[in-house]
Amino acid sequence: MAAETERFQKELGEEEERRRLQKLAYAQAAAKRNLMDEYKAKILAKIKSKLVLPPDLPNDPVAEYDITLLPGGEILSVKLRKGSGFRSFDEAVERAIILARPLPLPKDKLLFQNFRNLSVKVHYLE
Amino acid sequence: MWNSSSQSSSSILVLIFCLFSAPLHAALDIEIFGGGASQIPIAIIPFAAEERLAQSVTAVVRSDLQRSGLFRMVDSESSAPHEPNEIIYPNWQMRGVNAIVIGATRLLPNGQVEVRYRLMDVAKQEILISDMETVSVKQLRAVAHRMADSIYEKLTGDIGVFSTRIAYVAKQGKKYALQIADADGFNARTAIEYSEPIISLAWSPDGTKIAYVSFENKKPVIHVQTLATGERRAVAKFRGSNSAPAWSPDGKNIAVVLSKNGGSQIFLINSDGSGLKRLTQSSSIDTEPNFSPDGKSIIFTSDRGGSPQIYRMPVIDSASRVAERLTFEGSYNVSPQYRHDGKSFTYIHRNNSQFNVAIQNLETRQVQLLTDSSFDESPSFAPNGKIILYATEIKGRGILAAVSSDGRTRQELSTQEGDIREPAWGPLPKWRRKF
Repeated sequence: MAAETERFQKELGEEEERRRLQKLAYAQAAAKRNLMDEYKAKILAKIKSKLVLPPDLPNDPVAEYDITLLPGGEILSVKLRKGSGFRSFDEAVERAIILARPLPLPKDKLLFQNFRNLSVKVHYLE
Repeated sequence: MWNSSSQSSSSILVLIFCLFSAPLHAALDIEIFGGGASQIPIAIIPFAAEERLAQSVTAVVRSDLQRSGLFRMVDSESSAPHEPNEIIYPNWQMRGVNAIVIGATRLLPNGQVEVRYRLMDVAKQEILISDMETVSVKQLRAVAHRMADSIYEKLTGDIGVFSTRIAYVAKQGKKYALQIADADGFNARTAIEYSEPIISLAWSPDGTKIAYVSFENKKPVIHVQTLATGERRAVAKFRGSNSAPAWSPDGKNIAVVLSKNGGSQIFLINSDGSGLKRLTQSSSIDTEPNFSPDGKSIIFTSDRGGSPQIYRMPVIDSASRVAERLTFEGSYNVSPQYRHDGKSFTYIHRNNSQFNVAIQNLETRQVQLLTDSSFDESPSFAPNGKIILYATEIKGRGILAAVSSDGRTRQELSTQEGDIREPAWGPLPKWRRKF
């Protein structure tokens, strides 16, 4: 009976430890996700703030760029993946990307892996 | 029971790790909708030795670009580079500048001026435009307008209209003067002056002539005046009133409104006044014709439906000539003018007690009101379709105003004296018509 209680206590202890770890993992993942979201929003805001679009383009053209970053947020390369069909629009987007450097990145170096390659898609209309 | 519970919690743990540890080389997607600013930040540095010229070049370029509403001027502050290697790019990048205009002027022994300039891309640190012109001092404003056109084109991908001219009627005292000015309102000169009103100015498509209605002898007559020589001839002087001339895109015909058969109807004449042909057949007032850019149809104002509205009718095939009503919002829509691409038209719409400039898209039939002043008239498109010039009344006096075709920027051109009416924006100069 005493052994049974002891085993029960032990299992209870292990279970609590597992729950503690699980909560920790949740919290870490959530923190990472928050940080990712936060910096994604910061990058978006910085590029958007530099973006001056040419007036009166028909429909809603979309330009897609691939960006490779260096750890400090400097830009290693900017490549047009899919043009919008309007050179002035594509160039305005590229100009905004270059002028937005250095792009804001989280201090945690480990997170850089997630930001090394950016795929930026810009829609003409708000 | 405990076991199964611990198993599920550890599998949740694995799942969480899978969810949040992104694979190593996948790209992070960033999707942006719309831009942050509507104006291109640009620095225009005074050119070397420019202060010695009677006419500043950069001041004209600056005011042209500013007037388009698409540029924001950034001060040069203390640094004043004139050559590409003098530009310290990081400083300009930090100040958010997209492009810099630098250059130099040199007074030549023969009295002419050599103007060199470059447009530099601050982001890519490369030359976008490099050009040089040698001109007389008198032509410095014209050089500046051409420069502004090139810069505008390079940075917006659209045609610049700074080298174009505008025409309007200025009432000074008891005189009515038909004046021609640069698109910025400067260099105004009088083409002809009358003691009776002048209305309905229409540029010939090649920009060499203007058709207008004058009231000499108290009767409206349509004249065509050649600008270079000042020579004018009456092309429509029929019984009753002769009004609202509109050139066909090839310049060979003029649509006119005549009341010789009773009510005002639209007719077609050759540009020399010969070959009269009737276009509209109605018992109502049909007036203010304007040709589509392909010359195949006209839009005009008619009260055939009980109130003045805008209609469209083919010109070429007389058998199937049926007018189609285009405006349905409100009880008063007049003075239509096609955009250069034929996709939309501008007109005056009565909005309660106000008369405002509106634009209607011909495909979607969408209407956008562009102004909210009390009394606007004669809307006229710039040849690139981006700006609409119109006259508006402030304290009973007419002044020129311009609104961008998206309604975003609006401004008054307050350079003209007197009471200004009936503006008409001229076509692109010949050397720019490659577009």
